[in-house]
Amino acid sequence: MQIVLTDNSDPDEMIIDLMKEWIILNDYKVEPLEVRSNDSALEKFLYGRSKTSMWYPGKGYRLEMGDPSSAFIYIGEQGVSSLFEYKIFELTGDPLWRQRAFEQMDFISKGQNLNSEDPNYGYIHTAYSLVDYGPAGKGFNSYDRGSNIGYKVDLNIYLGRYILHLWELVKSHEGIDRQDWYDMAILAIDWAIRQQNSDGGLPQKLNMMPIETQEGNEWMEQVSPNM
Amino acid sequence: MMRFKDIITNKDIWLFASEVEKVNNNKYRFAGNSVTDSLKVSFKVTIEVPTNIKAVKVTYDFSVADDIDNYQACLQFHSDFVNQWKCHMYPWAADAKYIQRDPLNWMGIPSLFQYREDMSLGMLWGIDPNSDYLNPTTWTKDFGLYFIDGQISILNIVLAVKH
Repeated sequence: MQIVLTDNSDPDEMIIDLMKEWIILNDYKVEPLEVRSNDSALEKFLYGRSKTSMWYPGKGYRLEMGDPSSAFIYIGEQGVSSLFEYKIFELTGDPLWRQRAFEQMDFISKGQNLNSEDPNYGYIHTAYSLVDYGPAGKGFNSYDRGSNIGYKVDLNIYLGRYILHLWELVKSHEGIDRQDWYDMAILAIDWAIRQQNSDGGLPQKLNMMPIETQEGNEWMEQVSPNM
Repeated sequence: MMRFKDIITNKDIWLFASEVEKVNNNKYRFAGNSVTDSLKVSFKVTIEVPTNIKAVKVTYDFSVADDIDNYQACLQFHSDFVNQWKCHMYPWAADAKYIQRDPLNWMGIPSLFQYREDMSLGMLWGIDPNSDYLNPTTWTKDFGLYFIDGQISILNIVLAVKH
């Protein structure tokens, strides 16, 4: 057991002081890394990404390998993932990346609430479970494997931003106007703006109804768990 | 110097040193053993205050005569709370009055950042990062770390200890 002490009362300086002492106490040194060129690193990365079994055609990338809780596609990150892959396509010319970018974008839209009568009209679910796990089971949900349960305002804005970014990029570079992507982003952002607090701020997320309540509504039926 | 907790009966067995050895001006070693019907333990605890570092190293070394599957080895740090404390341990606790974490995985540094609420003192206490604390062949279970403000700060070697 080790005890490292500091009497510095500034919170930031306190942590810096503790870590400096901890480094000396443990003779801590960063291990040397094998350094390769940027081009070599990119080549290895793209080869691995193109071959990975974590890619689910027509859907997206599984977040990580591990227990059943990790068997999901993080839809909240899929907007930036799509943009990233389209930029790889532009960098390499390999049509694989364009195809994956488009498939990811199209799949995001399947998790959007399109019931204009619903208060959460426009909201995009932030997770897609690949297995029957957790209270929502297989399919779209906003449980995000249980660690951040709720309708995510932040991630819907984040999604909207990158969906619009890719929409604009494809339109300007290829002359293809994916109006459905544009509409998806605007609906999600409009939903997020409707959640504004009275002080002007935005909540990170909204509490959800219990899953039993959701099962009966049209939206949950719309996003079929068997997709 | 340390204690063993029987997790079935909830009974604590405290180990007291019977010998003390001065290793150098900064380092002292305490040793002893405890023999009961259910627990036969020999131990050494070395306390070192390195020069010019605001830190203390406490090294525990113990062996048991038989496998003891129902014990936790408890390395207690803090029990008499005069001040109010909070803690931070990414990603498990932030500005918190308590944490009960077992095992200590997903952590860069296996330690708890603990601080008085008035910020008059901060400390990092935990495991020597050079120890093999996640090696399942050394311990039959996990390290855990528990802190409840006003009650306890303790490092636990959870469940069984092999001799």
